[in-house]
Amino acid sequence: MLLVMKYLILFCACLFLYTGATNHVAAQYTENITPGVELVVSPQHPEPGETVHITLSDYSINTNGATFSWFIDGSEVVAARNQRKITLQAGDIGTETKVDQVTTLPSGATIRTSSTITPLRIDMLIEGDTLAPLFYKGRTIPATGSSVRVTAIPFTHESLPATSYAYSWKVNGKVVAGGAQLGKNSIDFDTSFGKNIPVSVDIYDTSGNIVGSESTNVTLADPELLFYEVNPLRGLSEHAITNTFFFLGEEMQVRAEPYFIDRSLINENPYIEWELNNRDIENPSVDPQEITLRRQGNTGSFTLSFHIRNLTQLLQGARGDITLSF
Amino acid sequence: MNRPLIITIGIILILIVLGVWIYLLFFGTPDSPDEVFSNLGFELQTQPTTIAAPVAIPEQVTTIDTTTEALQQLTTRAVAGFTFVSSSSTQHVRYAERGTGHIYNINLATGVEEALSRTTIPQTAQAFFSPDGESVALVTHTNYTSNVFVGSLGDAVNLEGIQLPTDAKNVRFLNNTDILYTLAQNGVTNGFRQNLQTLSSSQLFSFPFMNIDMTWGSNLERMYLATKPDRNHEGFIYTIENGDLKPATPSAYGLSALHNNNTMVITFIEDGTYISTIHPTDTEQTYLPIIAPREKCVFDARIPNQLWCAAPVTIPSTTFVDDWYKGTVTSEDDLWRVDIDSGVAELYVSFKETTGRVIDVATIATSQTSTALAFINKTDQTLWLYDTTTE
Repeated sequence: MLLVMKYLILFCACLFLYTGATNHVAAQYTENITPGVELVVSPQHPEPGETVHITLSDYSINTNGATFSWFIDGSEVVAARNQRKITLQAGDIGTETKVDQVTTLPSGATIRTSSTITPLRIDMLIEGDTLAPLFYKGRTIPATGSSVRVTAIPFTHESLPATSYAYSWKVNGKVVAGGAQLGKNSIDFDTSFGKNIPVSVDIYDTSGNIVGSESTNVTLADPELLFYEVNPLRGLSEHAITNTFFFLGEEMQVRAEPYFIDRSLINENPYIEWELNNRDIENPSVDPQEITLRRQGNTGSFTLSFHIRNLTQLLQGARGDITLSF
Repeated sequence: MNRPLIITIGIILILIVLGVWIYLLFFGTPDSPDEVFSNLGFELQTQPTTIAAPVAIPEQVTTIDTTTEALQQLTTRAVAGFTFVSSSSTQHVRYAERGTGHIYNINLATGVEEALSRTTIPQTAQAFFSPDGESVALVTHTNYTSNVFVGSLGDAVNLEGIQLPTDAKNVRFLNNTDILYTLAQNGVTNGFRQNLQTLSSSQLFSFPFMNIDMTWGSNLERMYLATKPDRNHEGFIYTIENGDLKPATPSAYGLSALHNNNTMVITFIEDGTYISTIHPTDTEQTYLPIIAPREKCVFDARIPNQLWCAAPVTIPSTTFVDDWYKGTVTSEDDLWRVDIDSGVAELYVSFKETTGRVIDVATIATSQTSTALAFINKTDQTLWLYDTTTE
């Protein structure tokens, strides 16, 4: 009786397959002809060129004595014969790789399962609207207390613009704005304490089907402060003044440059302090980040300090000092 | 003294006193000794004035020895940017002075330097020349704002031109009449092309990120857009072809790239250290034995699979590139010739051994025939030349 039922199920499943019914799920889809028999694809949404593991899951049927065959785009993978798992490289974006698995039972009946791998790439771009001198060729990154922007750019086989999808963002595990929003492929938020902020996004098409997911960590930098010499003619030097700097000439102009402090700081009347040998000094310079030093005496050294802080956002600040010899 | 003479002197004195009396009668008494007493009021205000033209002081001709040694320091001036300009018979290096924007031309055959423009653009920090060297974009930095003046060389040792929008970045000439730039605002970067003659402008692309580096390509058919490198966050490089954005490389931390038409040299962090490889590769990943940041390398103009790089023998630290961008470390560079196919780098010149000085190359370019390389030394912003035909 049990055997009759088993063959009945197989018959129905084969009939279902004949009708060409398919089940599309996200970046890959699996054709199920037998309940409980499926191909498990890992990762679910592979990137182009990524190694993909496909495992046969057939817990509901007795496959003792069965043989297993695997086909990639119609060609049998001989090396994978009688294996329950296969590994392949995902193709480029826009390509499809069809994987068929055929289980042949001792009775001669076959169970077919298939899955189509359609690679997907979701880029998560991170930047901070923070300060750095104009000659700095690196990225302005977020730091403790600054604002940060994360932008998701999905690349799928459909080649649709990023704004065609709906995005559901999570920051620190909390859903932002209550759920998915159409076209909202970037998110801005303020950082606080901590070094890493987990951010994830689920992307949906206009039918509400999930297209893919991605997550990243926003690493927060420590704001930094460096000093540079300013030449009235040539402008700002691109070499930072270090403690080995020797003060030549009678006078020099020094600029304090904070790195990765929120850009809004310069418009918010920040607290600024210059110190010489740990004593506050008045700076008559028009630009509060620049100071003119005049040498007195023949030889010696002194420590120059600069402190800048946002009084409304105390996490936003930087302090630095250098020792100058003359 | 005889009488007639005394009478004559007396009459003259009387006439003088009479004249003074008449002057004071009609023109009043001077209030102070500072007033011009000798101005007798006869000169009319509308009287034409002839001003003698200042005598032109002939400019001292500067001659640079460009032939004796393979490696030459071309300037003592700080340089903002340069280009090679070729005429039928001779090759020139044309450069803009940092701080002033003055343009100079050095004849590499004779070593004679001449000023082409004395139009002063204060705080000039960068300069980019058009392919023919007749136009230049001068970038000035004032705190956190940059401005770009695009000028053409005139006959009167001056520059005439236009100003690009404030904070224009990624400025490059597409050809002798069109300039390309990006503008980043509110989280979006837009790319533009502007014609310098008609001043018409068109938008080329829009991308939702502010920190980008552009490699425009020779004809805009394929543009490369890269996120600026950062060691703590993934970087991405894309191509823009016919308006379509596509990934060009896998993502990587600290990612940056140098392109020519066929090849891309990418630099990124692997196992905590910056490395450079060729992309794409058909076979195994070809790791270069030196680090090849885009600022310090240039493709050979004649041999497309050959690269010239100024790089240190060993990387001083795992944060080298970031520190170099901030100016907290100096790179003690040597000149390398890199065969891209084999991944072999050949030490061509040891700068320190040759000059006795540390040379830290900030930017490098090759002449149209690759017979010469020119570069700016970051330590003092001076311009140097290397004759590659000298073995």
